[in-house]
Amino acid sequence: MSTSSKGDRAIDRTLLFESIFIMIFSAVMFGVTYTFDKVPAILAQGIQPTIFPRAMLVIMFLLAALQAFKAMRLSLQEAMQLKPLKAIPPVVYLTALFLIAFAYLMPIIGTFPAIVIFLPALALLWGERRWLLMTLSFAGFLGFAYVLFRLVMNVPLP
Amino acid sequence: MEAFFLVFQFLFDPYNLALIAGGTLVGLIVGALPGLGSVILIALMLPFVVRMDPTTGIALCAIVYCATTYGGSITAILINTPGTPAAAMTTFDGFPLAQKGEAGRALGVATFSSAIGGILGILVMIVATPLLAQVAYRFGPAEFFALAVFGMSMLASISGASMTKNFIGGAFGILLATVGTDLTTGVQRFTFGQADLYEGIAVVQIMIGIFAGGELLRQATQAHLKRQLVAEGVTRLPSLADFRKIWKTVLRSTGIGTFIGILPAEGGKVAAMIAYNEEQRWNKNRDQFGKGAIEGIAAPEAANNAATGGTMVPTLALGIPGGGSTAIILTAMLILGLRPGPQLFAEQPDLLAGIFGAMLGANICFLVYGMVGAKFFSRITLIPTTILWPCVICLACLGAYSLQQSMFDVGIMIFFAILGFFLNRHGYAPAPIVMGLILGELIETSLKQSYLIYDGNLFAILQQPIALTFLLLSLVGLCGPFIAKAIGAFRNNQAELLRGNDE
Repeated sequence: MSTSSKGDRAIDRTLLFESIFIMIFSAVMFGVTYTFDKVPAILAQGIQPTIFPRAMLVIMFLLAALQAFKAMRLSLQEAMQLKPLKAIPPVVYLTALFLIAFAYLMPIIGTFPAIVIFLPALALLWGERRWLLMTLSFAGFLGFAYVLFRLVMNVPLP
Repeated sequence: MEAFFLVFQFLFDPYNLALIAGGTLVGLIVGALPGLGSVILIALMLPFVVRMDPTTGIALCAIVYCATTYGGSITAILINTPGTPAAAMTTFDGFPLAQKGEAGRALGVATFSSAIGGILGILVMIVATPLLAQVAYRFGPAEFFALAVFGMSMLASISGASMTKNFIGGAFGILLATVGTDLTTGVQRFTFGQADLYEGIAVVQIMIGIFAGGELLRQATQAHLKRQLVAEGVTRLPSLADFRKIWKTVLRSTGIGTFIGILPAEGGKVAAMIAYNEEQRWNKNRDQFGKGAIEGIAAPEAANNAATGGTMVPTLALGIPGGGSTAIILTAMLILGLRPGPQLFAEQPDLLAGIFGAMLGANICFLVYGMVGAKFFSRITLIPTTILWPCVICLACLGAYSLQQSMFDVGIMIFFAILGFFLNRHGYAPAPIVMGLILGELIETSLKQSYLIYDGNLFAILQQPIALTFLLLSLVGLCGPFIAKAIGAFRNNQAELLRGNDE
């Protein structure tokens, strides 16, 4: 968590930004509820379809506001106890990117060719270099996936 | 008595015995793999389970739930990494004992305590579930609304960084449950014109994404970690004296685990934590805790396995999940067209006997596997993350696709995988989101029905004794952490004062 202090109070900036983000999200979604179709009272049976989601969004907003208030009123002792949040390593972003690429490739080149590319690519990205282990394991998995999805479950995979 | 007869009938069917033996083995292996656990395994199994016969499918979920809960202790003892969150407390004494060259003794104590805790927890479940279901006959919309609110209020005390974050997660889950066409009015909510969202966001894809996908991204940061296996003396089993020493601990912790398990939203992790703390408080041998005390292994293991039976009680009797795994089992039941509650006992006694029998069988089965296969399971813990996780995520993608043969579902799964990673990183645990997602529809529907029944006067809910009781309990649940904090502060002040007087 990144913090900044002033007097005997400190601010947990990470928590503050998180809370502000949730408040903005709730406000935007609250605005979206105004785009829902209006229903005659007799059909809505007293409760319009907007009421419940709006109630949840208001709760989320208020909880986030409470959290923001707490983040700004941190005692110095509490601030000292906070552990700094480590930066996300690039491998996480790359893994997410590989996952998106896999889903993108599935309908284009076919499920099994996409798996053949994805499995070793991700393993290599994570630092695996034992080629024989990779070949045997991934070939085994490919066979297992084929038997399970195509033969047993009869799923028409792309 | 009839329930017990049906359970034994289920257990003596060769097909069911094979299901128990196979399911327990898979559950044990997955539980022994760090990072994977019952929640991820059941989420990954959902696409297959919903194609099975209901009894077989739900029984299989129950089997792997029991087996993975126990399997988590293997990694906790041998490599100091809990295979499942519920086994976190087992590392405190299990790993030190393994380091002393007594890995087999530690595993034996864990296996024995887990099996006894699990079996007793299931016996309580067999007795308590029909009784609770009888009470549920008196439940109307107001009572179900209050019960669901009570379930959500328990988020105050479940694991996670803070109570506020748990509630934000819960509210977000409920909000997700509102996506799609409103059943009363036919109005589309938060669909943004996407036809794929008209029927709502598929719960299964969210669960696979948030649990398995989120964990994949977390594992990406730990792929370089080398695990050291302490398996010296892994085949040396505990002595009779050890069993004599721990039986009281096992019984105490089983009681704690079953009770905590029955409370909505609490699960094995909380049960293990409380059981360990209580054992440490009352045990004569308390100085040895953290240094390899066998009671320190027996207490959390008996409690977290007893909690598996406990968590099934509200799930089956009321349709309120007792934890993350039961939330997924509940989803599977709903997809298979089964409505938990009293009618389940009248209409589907075979299904319930199947669940009870499967869980009982799984506990007996892992007792055998654990005692004879310790050496084999100790090797499983070393399967490299770099090989395992790419396969797991492929399975998750294929599973997400296979349900409706839709790439949109795969996209949803990946979106929630990324979201789950960031939420977890910032202390928003996935369990409250899933609880909200499951209970969201029940809360909204029962609120609407109550509004109609009481002619627009929602305060009439407070005039229903059962509903009022649950709402008051919700209030206690909400204030619980504050009360505990205040008591803690008071105790500290008193201790300071006493120390001051001594000086």
